[in-house]
Amino acid sequence: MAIVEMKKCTLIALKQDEQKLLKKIQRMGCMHVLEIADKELDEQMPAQSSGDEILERKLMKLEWGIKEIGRASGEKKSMLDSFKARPVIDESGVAEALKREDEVFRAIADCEQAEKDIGAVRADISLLESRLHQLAPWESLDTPVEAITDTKHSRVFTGTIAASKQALVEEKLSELPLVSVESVFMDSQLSYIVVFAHRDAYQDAMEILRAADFTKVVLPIGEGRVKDGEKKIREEISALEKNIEEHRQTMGKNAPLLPTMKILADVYSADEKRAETEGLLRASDKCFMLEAWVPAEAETAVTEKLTAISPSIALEFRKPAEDEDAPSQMENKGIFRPFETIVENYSLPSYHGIDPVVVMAPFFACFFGMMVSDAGYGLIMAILIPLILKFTHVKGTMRKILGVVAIGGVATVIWGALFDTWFGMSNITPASIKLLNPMEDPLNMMILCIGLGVLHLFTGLGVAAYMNIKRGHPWDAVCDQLFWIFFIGGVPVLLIGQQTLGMALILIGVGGILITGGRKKKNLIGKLTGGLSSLYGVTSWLSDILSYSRLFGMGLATGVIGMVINMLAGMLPLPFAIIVLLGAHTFNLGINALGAYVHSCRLQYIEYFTKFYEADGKPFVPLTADNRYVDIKDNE
Amino acid sequence: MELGLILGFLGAAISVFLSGIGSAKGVKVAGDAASGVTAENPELFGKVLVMQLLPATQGIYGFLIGFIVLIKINIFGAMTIPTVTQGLSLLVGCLPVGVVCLVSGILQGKLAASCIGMVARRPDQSGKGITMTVMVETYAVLALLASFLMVWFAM
Repeated sequence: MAIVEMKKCTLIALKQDEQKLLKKIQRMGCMHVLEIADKELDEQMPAQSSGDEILERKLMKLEWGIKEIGRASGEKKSMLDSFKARPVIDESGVAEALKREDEVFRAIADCEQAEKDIGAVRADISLLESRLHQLAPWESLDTPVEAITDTKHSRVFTGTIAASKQALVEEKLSELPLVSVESVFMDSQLSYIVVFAHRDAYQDAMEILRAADFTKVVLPIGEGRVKDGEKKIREEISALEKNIEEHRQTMGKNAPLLPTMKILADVYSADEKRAETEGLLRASDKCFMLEAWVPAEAETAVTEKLTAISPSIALEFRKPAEDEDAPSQMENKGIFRPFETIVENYSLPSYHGIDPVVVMAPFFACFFGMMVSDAGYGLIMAILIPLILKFTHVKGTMRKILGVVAIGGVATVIWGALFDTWFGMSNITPASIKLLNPMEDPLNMMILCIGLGVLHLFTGLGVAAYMNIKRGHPWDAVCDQLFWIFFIGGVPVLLIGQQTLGMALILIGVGGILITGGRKKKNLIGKLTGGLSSLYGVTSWLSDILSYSRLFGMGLATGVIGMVINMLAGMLPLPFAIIVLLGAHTFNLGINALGAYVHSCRLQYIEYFTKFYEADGKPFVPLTADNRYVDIKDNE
Repeated sequence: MELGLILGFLGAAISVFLSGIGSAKGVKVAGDAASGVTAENPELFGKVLVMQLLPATQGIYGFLIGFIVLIKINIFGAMTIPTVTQGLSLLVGCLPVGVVCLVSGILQGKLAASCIGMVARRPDQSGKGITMTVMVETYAVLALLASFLMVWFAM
């Protein structure tokens, strides 16, 4: 239960060994390399350039290839992928992949060309589709398009007018004997018309039409009827789509290269990380200098391994100074370890603060259990999740979260048994260990929740007091923590009938807070009002304590829904009942486990951590390869 | 039918439909955002789905109180007809969960939508988004508790 002790390491070595040393550092994965901000060094050891553009471009191409070729070959990505093991590659596998590099990049270039072609084809398709769209209103026009053309004596053309003026136009045109208008189609805005006019009457007809917002339309097909034209365009589109499919298949044919691409992507991304790290170093012609945070316990290993590579290095370790922000890395053992993720999700502890995991984990599990509060659900979580963790390869945060839920499951079994709730059923727990039924005894349940809450908050104060004493401020521990414990703790003492003791505790607490609350203020008025404003903090205490009633509320939700599920299933014939029971209980477990997890987090973050936690630590980010696709095995 | 019974039923109905509207609206708003994010990046489906589901709980709370009213009336056995006073108390008891869940469901949905937008840009921060979104639910839980106590002791 501690924050890992860090040491600042300074390494000076020959420039010719730089790559070898950096590779080794990356493999060890325990050095957080820092930028050297010493201005005096600028002349002799200027900062180096960082990154490598060629590598970056290669990486981008590989990532693109992995994504697009994977998609074209129908490689399915699913949420369960993170449960699968990554392939393990040894150094000969890496060498093999590097040999095929040219082949891989040629394949990617081909695919990029194919993708470009697909883009061009897509543009053609959308052009054709817009034509189809244009033609749609003219579908019922049975005359072939080539017939809609001017003759010696008449003019024939197509166009649109405003639908609202259609009637007016028809009426006016009927007065002109040498003009005929046929409406092909009408929608809410436009009327699509074909106009036949004798050349003598053309001007008059046009005048009338223009008044109705006439727009001439040239149908985008060369010949034949509109329907046939549409059919032809559709055929063209499907031919083009087939063309796209062919291009995709060509891309998909490169799928056998995918494993090689993945190895290369990981190798290059490791190279790229090193190239970026180089930008943090200082170097002269002959030698370079590197500064890094290293966990104190890795000191000997680092010294040994780096000296083995190059005996001529100078290596120095020193403790961080008071004002130096070393990165924080929590270290917890066994069942406490998964709970680190909850702290990480909030904010890392400051390096000079404390690791809150051990004082938080028992409460977290306890509250989680109370909020799920069904022993049956608890059993499922406590049994199923360890099996999942054992037989799959979940990594990182997800693994920790599942661990937390599994331990919470154990707490759930305990609370569920005490409350006598098993898959929404009761009367299973023997009466001797049954604590209470929250549904029938809500008042006592409420007291239990509030009581646990006060215990939680007092633990927080206790930790804060311990920190104060450890840092040599025992007086702060009394003023900021002990008085509050007296004050808040006095209330229940008063309520259970110990009037004198209760009153005494409250008075000492309130008095103490009033007198000492302003002790850090400079002037007299500040000192006087400081106490009052400190005492005003009681409102936040009230809301903090009442916040724990959510333990009851969330537990109630699980319990009653479970009961309702059983009741509904009881009304159904057997096969349906089983389906309903399985589905609904799974849903209830899922949604309540999520709720319990997040609400339990909230009780830690908002109520608990505000009492003592010193956040804002910087993460420890050592130089590692951080592979995404494969695990590369070291030959040593 | 007795007036007391009708009042009790009215209470159950109010708590179920108000909270149901709240959740439906909240899940819809969050779902709109989630579908946009999924279109851009299908791998985030799991993460945004969890967020979309957060405003779903309000509807469950309302349903739960409605059901407790029905249990109190013992609708599944020999029905106990509440008096008019008891019926009114049941009705009043249903109001906190109904009204609060209506509002908090919608608001939580909106917040979930913003947090889904955040996940689209920073997928690694989804835990923080969930935590922020769940803050809104606090008041729905408190309303549930208040309603439960009122309904439980109404008759």
